[in-house]
Amino acid sequence: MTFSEPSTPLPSTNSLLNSLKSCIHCGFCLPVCPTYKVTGSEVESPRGRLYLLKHMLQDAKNESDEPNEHLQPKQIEPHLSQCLGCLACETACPSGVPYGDILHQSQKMFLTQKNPFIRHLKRFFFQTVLPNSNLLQFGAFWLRLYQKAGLQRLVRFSNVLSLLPLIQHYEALIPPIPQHKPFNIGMSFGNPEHERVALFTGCIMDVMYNSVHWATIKALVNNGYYVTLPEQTCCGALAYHGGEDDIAKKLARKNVLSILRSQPDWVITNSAGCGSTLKDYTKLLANDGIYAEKSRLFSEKTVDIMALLAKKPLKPCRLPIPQTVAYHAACHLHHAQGIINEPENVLHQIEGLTLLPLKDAAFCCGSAGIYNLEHPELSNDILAEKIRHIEATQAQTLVTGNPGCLLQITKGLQENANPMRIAHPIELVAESYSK
Amino acid sequence: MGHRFVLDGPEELIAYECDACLLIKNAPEIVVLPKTTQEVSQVVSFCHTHKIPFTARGAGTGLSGGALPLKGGVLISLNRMDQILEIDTENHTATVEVGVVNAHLNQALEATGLFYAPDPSSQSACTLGGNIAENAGGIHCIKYGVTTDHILALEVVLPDGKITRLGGKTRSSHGLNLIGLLVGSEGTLGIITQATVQLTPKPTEIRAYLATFSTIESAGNAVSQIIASGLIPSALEFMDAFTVKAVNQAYDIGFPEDSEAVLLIELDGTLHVVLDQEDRLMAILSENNAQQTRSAQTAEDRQAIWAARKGAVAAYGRFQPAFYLHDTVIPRSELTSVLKKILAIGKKHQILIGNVFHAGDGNLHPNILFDPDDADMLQRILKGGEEILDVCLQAGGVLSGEHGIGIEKSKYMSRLFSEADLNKMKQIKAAFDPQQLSNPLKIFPIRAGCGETHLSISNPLLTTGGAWI
Repeated sequence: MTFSEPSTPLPSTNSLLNSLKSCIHCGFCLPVCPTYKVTGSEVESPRGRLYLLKHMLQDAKNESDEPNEHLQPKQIEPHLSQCLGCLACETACPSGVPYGDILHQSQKMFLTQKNPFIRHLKRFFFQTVLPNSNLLQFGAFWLRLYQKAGLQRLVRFSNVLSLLPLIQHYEALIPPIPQHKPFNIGMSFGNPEHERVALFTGCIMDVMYNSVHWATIKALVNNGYYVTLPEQTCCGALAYHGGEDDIAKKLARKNVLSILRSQPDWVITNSAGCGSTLKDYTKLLANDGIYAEKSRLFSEKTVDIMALLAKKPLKPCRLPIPQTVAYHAACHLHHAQGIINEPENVLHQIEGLTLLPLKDAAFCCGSAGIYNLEHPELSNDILAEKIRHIEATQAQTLVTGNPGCLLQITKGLQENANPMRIAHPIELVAESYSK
Repeated sequence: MGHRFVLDGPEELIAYECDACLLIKNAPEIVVLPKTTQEVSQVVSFCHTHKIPFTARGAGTGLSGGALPLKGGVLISLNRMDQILEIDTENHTATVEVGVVNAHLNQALEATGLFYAPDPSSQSACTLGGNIAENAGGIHCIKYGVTTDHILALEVVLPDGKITRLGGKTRSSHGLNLIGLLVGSEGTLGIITQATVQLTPKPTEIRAYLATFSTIESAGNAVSQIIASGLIPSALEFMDAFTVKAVNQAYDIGFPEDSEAVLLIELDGTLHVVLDQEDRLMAILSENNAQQTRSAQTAEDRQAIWAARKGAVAAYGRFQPAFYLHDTVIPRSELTSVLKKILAIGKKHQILIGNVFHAGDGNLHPNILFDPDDADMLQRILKGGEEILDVCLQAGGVLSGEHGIGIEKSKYMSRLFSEADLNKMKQIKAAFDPQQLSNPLKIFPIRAGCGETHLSISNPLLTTGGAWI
């Protein structure tokens, strides 16, 4: 295992302070912030975080003051790291504070505050494990075996892991690993004369929700698209959100080059998190030579599956889906990409399907990448709020367009022994084309 | 209360050193986040016994520094007390804990055909407790009245920690009107923890209109004439050209940018009444040379217009990082002349002023934009602000329509009230809070050199006579 040292340049204090100035302290962001909601503390709110960051940067500039009264990065870092990055505050903000950008800049600034061992472990995971689909599948195979062969039941029944509480905690988080129907790079589906879409499969999405990819292909082909599977790698979302831009950039360059080479009209994602990162490649590679222009083109072509299908009326379905359905809006669709009505507009066209309103549908479920591993207590409090609203709908099916949300809500409903079905919205679309 | 709900880290205290008024700051010594009235009572009792000052806070959206712990001490943040305890559709009342967000109450009322009328612009975030403390208004108050007109009962933790309940589900007029006294008392007489509020049936027909004018004068005249004619619109709002620009950037709502002033008007009632009012309104608008008049076509359009209007002040953040605004109410016949003087003051001091306000009430909101890091600009806006206030008071205006005095306007109280009046008010305060612990140093002017020199605050807004503490 080799560690490559991070080479991310630090953001300039002045540019960060300038971004921070747009916060006028009105407080409109408070009620939409999940961490503020469950903690009640303004330090865990967007306004509080921005205020502290500004305070710290200004303290650092005013060297003449008494330095021992200055706010230090180690005091601020925990509060910023408790932010989910759901960006609900950006949607609520009238003065246009670029919260996501500020958060990202501060993550880079605070990298040196993190535990070096954990940081290197994460970097290894981001750059060696996630982008390697063979490795992921290998791991998934053994986990599946562990679950299917009864070993998991034995471990859980015998409570042997109670000796290792940390491992027990993470063991409990392992979701059931489904069967995987592999793709081969270079595969294509549909009529080559039709509009050409490249399917972005992602890393976790492909391991955990491979069936959603098959549903996506089916829905696309039935709606007159030609689907290709160009060579690609992990989108780099986790590295990017963790401030490890050097890793994210490497992955971004790979994706931009190899996917554009397949000359797609559209690059399709069915994972909100991947989609928003692919669109952010423009920012990530803005000063990266030839990649600046290419990434702009790439980001323009990137579209979520439900947003693409919403552009035209759906082709008539063959099978009615007589289900009551509630839609949870993934943060990285609703807040980060501004895809708000499209998924429901598409679902609305399926015969027999009834959409039920979900209260606070665009409120985070607490998944947020690896947040549920890093801050399990807060994540669970936020999830409990979500599950309460989901259960109140009494819908038969809950749909949402992001693997993290799917995993998290599945876990929440299972803990309540609620048999509600959980699916990606595209799965319902695909089912309506079955005979 | 649990360690999780007591905050005392230096960075945690700094996050509470101001509310939405960025002119004056002071951090508390500890922050508590109680969940029940009993917990509030325990904290206040402790403060009473040990003579520790305490200040209540809701969502910290106040514009006059009402939630600022000027003497440090304990900050009691009530936002976790966010339960709607009862909605009584037969008696048209709701009983709530004070941490309930104003808009959340209205969301909960959606299916009932009732609504809670006071709707301050910060309604999506501000708490009902803060609304009650500041006697908040809002765009619909021209017809439905301000917060005090909607409060039937209160549960209060008095400054000695005792819990008391006032009022019930009906209006009453026995004894002294203590509810009237507590609403708008800005947390200086105790801490309100629960309230029973009056709900209003939703009108069956609501229509919103937008009219543009080539001069501020014609818009101001239209407002005066609408009021004089006896029409009672459910909203009558004014926006100047600069505000329209800011709002368009924030909400992509497409308000016309080619005029000097925009009026947003709403009529409600039965269809018959609204149609009649509409005719009269259109006649007045055209008489006053409205350039164009549009009406919102759908309920969604109407809601989008009001959401944009309510976000206007925060949208100024796109131009400067802070704002200082007055909240004076002037006789509506004086609108045009006062507005012109305000614009002239802006020019004279080279300060950016955005005007967006409740024209129908005569409740002005000149928003003076500034950068707190620019000392020279700060001096200019304070000077300009004072001149604006002079103009408004000379026109027969009062200091505050809905934001409260807090600390930001306390210096000016003696301009409006005589020494004897202020002393009477102070006696009432002392009757509730003889130790002066509940939100100290608010509302009344602080005199330079009167023993408050331990304050680490130096701010020209605080003291009379321009002397800094």
